[in-house]
Amino acid sequence: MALLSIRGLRVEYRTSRGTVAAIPEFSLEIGAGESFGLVGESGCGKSTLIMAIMGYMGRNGSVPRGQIIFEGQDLVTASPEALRKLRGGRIAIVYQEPATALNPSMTIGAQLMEVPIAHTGASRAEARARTAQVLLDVHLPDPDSVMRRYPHQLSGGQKQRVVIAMALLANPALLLLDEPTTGLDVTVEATVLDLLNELRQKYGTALFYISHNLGVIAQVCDRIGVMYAGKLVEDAPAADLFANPCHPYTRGLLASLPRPGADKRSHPLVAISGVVPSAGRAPESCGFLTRCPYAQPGLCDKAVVPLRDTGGAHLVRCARWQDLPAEQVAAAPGPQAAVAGRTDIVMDAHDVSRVFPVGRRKLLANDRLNMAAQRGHVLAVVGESGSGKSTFAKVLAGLDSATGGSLRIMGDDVAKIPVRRRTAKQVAAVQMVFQNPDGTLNPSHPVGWPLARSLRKFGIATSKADIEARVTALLDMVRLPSSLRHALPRQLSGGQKQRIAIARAFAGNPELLVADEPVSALDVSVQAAVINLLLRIQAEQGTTLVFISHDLGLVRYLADEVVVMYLGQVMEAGPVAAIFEPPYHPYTEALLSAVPVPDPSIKTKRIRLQGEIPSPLNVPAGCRFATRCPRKLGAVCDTTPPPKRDNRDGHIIHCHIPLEQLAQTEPVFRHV
Amino acid sequence: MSASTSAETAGRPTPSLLRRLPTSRVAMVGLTIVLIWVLLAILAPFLPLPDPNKSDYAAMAKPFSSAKHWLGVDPLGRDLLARIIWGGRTVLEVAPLAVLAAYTVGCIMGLLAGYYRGWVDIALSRFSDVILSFPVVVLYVILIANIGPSALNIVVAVVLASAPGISRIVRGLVLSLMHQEFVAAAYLRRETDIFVMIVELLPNCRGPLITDFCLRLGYTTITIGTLGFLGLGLPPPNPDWGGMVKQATSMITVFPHMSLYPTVALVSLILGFNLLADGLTELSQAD
Amino acid sequence: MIRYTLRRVAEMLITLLVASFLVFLVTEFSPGNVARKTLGAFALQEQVDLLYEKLHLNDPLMVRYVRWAGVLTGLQADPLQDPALKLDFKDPRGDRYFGNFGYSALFKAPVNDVLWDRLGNTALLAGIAFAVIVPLSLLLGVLAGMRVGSTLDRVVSTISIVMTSVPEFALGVILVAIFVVWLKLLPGTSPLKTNSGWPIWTQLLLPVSVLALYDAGYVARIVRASMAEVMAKPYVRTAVLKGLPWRQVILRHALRNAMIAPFTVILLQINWLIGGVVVTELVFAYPGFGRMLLDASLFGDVSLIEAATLIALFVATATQLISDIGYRLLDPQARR
Repeated sequence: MALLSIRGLRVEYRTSRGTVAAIPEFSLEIGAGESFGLVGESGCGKSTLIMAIMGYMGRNGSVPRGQIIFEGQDLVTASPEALRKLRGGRIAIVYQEPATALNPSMTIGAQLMEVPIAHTGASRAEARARTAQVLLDVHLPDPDSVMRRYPHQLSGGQKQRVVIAMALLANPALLLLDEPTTGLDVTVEATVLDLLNELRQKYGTALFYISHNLGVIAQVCDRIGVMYAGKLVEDAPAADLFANPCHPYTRGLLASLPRPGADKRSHPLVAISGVVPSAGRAPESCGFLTRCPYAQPGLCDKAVVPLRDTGGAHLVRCARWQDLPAEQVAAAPGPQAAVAGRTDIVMDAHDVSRVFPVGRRKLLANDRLNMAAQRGHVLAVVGESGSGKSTFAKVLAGLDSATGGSLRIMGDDVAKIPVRRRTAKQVAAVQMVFQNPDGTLNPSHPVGWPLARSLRKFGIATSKADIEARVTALLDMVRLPSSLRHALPRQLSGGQKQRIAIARAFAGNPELLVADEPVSALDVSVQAAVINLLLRIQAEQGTTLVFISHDLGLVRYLADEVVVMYLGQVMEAGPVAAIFEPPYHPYTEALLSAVPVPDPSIKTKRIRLQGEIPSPLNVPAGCRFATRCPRKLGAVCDTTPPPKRDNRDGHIIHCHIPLEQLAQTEPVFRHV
Repeated sequence: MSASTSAETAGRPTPSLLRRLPTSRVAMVGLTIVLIWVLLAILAPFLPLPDPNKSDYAAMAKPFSSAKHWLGVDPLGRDLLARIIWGGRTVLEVAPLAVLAAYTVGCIMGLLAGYYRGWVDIALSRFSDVILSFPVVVLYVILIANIGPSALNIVVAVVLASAPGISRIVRGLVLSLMHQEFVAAAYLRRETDIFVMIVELLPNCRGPLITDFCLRLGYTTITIGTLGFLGLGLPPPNPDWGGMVKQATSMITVFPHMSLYPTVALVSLILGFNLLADGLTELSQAD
Repeated sequence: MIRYTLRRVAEMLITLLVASFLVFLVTEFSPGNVARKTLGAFALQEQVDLLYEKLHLNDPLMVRYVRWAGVLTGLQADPLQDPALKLDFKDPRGDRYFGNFGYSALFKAPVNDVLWDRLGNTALLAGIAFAVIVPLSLLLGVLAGMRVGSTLDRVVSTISIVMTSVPEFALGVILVAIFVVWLKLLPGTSPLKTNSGWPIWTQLLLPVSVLALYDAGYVARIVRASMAEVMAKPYVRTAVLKGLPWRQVILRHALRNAMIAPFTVILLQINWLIGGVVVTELVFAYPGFGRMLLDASLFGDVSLIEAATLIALFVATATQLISDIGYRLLDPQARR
């Protein structure tokens, strides 16, 4: 018998606009010890499902039909007391944001010890001992010290370990994981995923993992379900799902992710058109109908499509799954290669430093950065949070000023010139696309307004009619209808807002566009569309693009040159192909190894970084990476800054290990 | 892909706070009470009311409600209903004017402090701290007692007492808005400081300020009433609710209606403003 | 923490200094002059002019302020006590001591003789009111905020919004109308004298109710809002989904966090109470500090106004200091 069996579950919410079915009908079984992953973009009903299992839906949520049978007991009709005993005891949950999931005014120990006291009737001493044991199991050394601390005194990764420990304390049969690594750095994410795999073996707990990230799910789960508009559309063993995706939505999700080794010229991303419909708004018959490239009138929009078995425990909810073409719909040709032959340097950073005085100490956000961008090329700057990449982006745009070094953009040194003191020409030359789509547009003004304002301020257009025409042209360039110009930002989706931001950045015909994580806040399917758009306009206009990102998969896909940063310094730089192959900088190697690959046929070499990134207030004296480097040579790394080692084609590595030795490293990715 | 992206359906928009007002019952009750008073105040000169400042000596012997004086007369024989309606007119002229003036000063202070930070912020914040340390009534009493009771001086006092509080709210909002990328985007097209403050920042402070505005209207109504009661209100013979209560308290054991009716009038108007503010807060939290 | 406290104390002293100067500045607007007020309405103009001269009242504002501050700190003798003026003003404490607030022109006595008894009466009134406000508003606010939208929540919210809409004097009038005029249960005035026929506690009942009801409504609303906000926090969900009993979720997880914000507000109520007593004391003819301040302001008694303001401000800023320090102790994140 299955551990958890959801049968015909319907979840509704009462809103001011009437009752909405967030989950129209959902069935699923998870066996004891199984590891099941559920993917889908935001708004597909994943979190609603998790909270329905926990019986926690707030005052306006209800389950009008269906059953959730867990260990033979129906949770929908269970008494509050019976539910209380199960919660945290037999079923436990790990939350998306560990920072808010922990009580800020209680010590870690007090919060953790509550669980064994409530569920196993343990005494305080027993609870303390058990807690210390589980903290060791989640690899938090020195549990006594951790237990005395408050949540704000721990790092994000440590907090997530504490939340995982909290979930494991009562030895649950089922562990629900709600995007537990979203918001963590990729190297931290990798260690958390390792931990989950390890704990699953050790505790024999069944996992129900929900995420929007196929790569992450592929690392942890044996079986994967795909959820769309509150329904399960595909359910298959992990390897089978990636090898043979049957539902158009699953195919779309996979096609909008950059694959390892693929780039913008060989394998352009294919986006899913449209956006996820809001709860209760999806068509009855097939929720994906409006976005599906294979939808067939008369077939797909009639009866409710059932979940069918395709054989081999592979279920799919599609009326046409047998008729789908084997290959993806022909993708539009990728953007043309960057203008070849010209080595025209648009941006040249030489020893750029940005030091923030903090009391009597110094915070080294950027420490003697050197990099250059050629006209029409895409220069990607990668690194985890705290690497200083966003600070550098701000210095480029003049939103912050360097404290040392020179930064030539179109020949002028603007390192220490803030945007307020740059000339009109210098300001127009560097424009920026920001990370957060919700903050990028002024909520009080219609979205056409900043476009018109930019055109006027840069003297591109002066007459009213001219401005109108050019705003229309800009909207057309980012594939938005010109009627949208009168809409307020809150009426737009995240992807549409980023399109407006791109249009605004191109309004003044910039030479250099700085894009600071422009798609990291967007859903996967929308990400691909925005990236394609940005690259197309960039290639058409011959603009130089500095692309700041933490996503190595994306960088591999779109960059011409890459700079890898760690703790304010450049670790490695060079043409994109050289970065992703040996010789690697040890940090680049670890970063690559941490990338969750959405393809079980690719094996990744396992390298995990220990410890935390040091504070930029107190950086290591020698190599910045020495404290965490798995290939550290010895004292020389701690005391002496590493030499710059030139490979070929401008590929440089800052490391004490000789190039020849680095070149002999085994590649991180391997096809099996 | 891209041809169909224009078909991205826009998310359902949330209508602005004021347009959603009718969905809040609390806010509508408040608005109705306020509108009744506003209507009475506007219509006061046209209503068939006795002169509010004229004494009816005949009615003084039996000051209770009668066919001639619906709510009776005050200790000086003046018609209570007329004085209450005309008194409402005074409050509804002075309170919004005072709050608006306070808002002008407070917004400017808050914008400057939040935008420029540094010494501008320190100077303005320290000044605000000093004013805000005064118990409010004490501040009003000392001020009005020294500069004299008049409508203008009440406005001046309200500005001095309320602007620091408004400034604090605006400053806080500006500080958080300054982190938003649209401000950086404005710099990247060379907008001036004044433009950023007035056009980019101020309109986004609207939401919290609308609620606060209603609360302050209620509070200023309390202040005007209290000052009247303390004998620091509008100079006689102008009808002033607080002053009317004060005049009649000595006779409360004999003629309680003389102080109770203006009290009820005052309380109902304040309640109206407070309910409106409460409804607005609830609506803004429902987002 | 110690450095923070010292910094705050310094800031508090600066606030008092600036505020006392502002009060000095404002009294400049009032018609009439200190000399005339000191001598009374029946003094000859020549006498007034002479005193004016001797007290150097035509000196610039700043000079007079420094002189006043000098008298207050005991660095300078009170010029009014100079026997040469033949004013016959005598302070038993001498003419030069720390805390010399000078002479009250209104009461014709040293400010220190006038001030402290009245302050004691007011402290009694405000203290009882505060002792009623805190438990009442906490209880109601927590119960209402615990289950937003419940019947209890709606009842508490409605009562508290009505209470905050009734200013002290209006509440006074209404309560007097009910309990004094109609039911004849309580006295209408509270002179705190036993010979009035009413025991002292009955005289305190109405003034305390006026102060407490108005403020309790306000504080209960703040507590409710804070509790409601905390109840919606993810960590409360964590506590529920850990399988803790509801009692523990509320007592261990919600309450402490919900008290952080209202803590400051509750202490700031002391500031409000000082304002409230001015009105309440007038309604009930209560012999307290608030009515004295009102009388002093109407008369233009600068020494008394300055003294009363400084004390009111001292109480206000001191509670603010305590609330800020307490806040840091309550909230581990602010403790660093």
